Amino acid sequence: MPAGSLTVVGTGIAFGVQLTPQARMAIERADDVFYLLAEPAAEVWFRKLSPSAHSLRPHYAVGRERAETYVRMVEEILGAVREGRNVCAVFYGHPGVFASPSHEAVRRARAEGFSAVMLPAVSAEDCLFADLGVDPGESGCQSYEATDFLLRRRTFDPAAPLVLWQVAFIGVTGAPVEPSPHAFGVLVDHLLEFYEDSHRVIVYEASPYPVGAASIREFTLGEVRAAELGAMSTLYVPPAAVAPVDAGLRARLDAANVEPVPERL
Amino acid sequence: MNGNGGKGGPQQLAEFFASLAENPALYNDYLTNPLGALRAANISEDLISAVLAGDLHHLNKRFQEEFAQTIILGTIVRG
Repeated sequence: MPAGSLTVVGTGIAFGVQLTPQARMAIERADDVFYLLAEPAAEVWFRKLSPSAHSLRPHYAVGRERAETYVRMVEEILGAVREGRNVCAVFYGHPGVFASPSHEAVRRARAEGFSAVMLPAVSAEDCLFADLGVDPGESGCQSYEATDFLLRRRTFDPAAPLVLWQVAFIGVTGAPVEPSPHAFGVLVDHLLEFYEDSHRVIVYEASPYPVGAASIREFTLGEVRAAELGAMSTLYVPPAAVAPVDAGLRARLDAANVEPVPERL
Repeated sequence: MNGNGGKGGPQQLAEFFASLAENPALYNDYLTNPLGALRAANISEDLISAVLAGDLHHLNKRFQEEFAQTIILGTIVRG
């Protein structure tokens, strides 16, 4: 295996306090550190933690497609790996969630014969589970990027929780811009085909700061189109019904198990 | 630079947050007495109000103005 390696880590959502010891060690041990953080204040913290780290932010440019931006980020990260450096690439949140350059960098590094790993971290969805008291073990959880959800007309189950990410930037593929309330209305109209106008939904934002609570705002689905959205807003749609138990599959499970399936299932 | 004459503004709040993240004793002080810790750090009253109220949008707006940065979002959809 050639010299040079890549470790991809995440900072968690609340900067500083959600960095795992494992990720901190990877940052401290690396020859070169590259980072991309969403919250401007987080960079103040990170530059103290890793003063010689290189920001990937300059690759963003007005008018440049995000796909092109990501190619440039991956090339910068891999350039250092190819020089035989032990590289740590740091992304906000979980590095493998809503972060395509991190996955691509790991794939490319491995394809070129280098050691490359990704470490888990606290994602926005982890924060949502904690802040909203949602347990995906109860009735599942459906999670989609909002533009993908609409464009591909994803099939989903209104009897299970639905989480829609990046609802303030539906249809945006370029550099970050102001939230788009009109496109959000398209999403709401689509959801109204499956839920009652009076169905309660939540506009959620995890706190990116080391202190402070999440922003949790409840609306009816009919009202939510007028909600002010922040760049990090997520739409949480609770289940509208309880899914019925399938009698045929229950009978098969009963037959397959020594213990009968409890009635509550 | 910042909207508070260079003292007590977003830069100082960001520095304070960074200190909290790296200093458990300071973090404990904050959890015990948030208002006292923010005032001891010489943070301006409008930012203290935003922190205590959990006004994420206001805080993010002030940080963006201070550091001339916009939010970066994570993924791309190939439609």
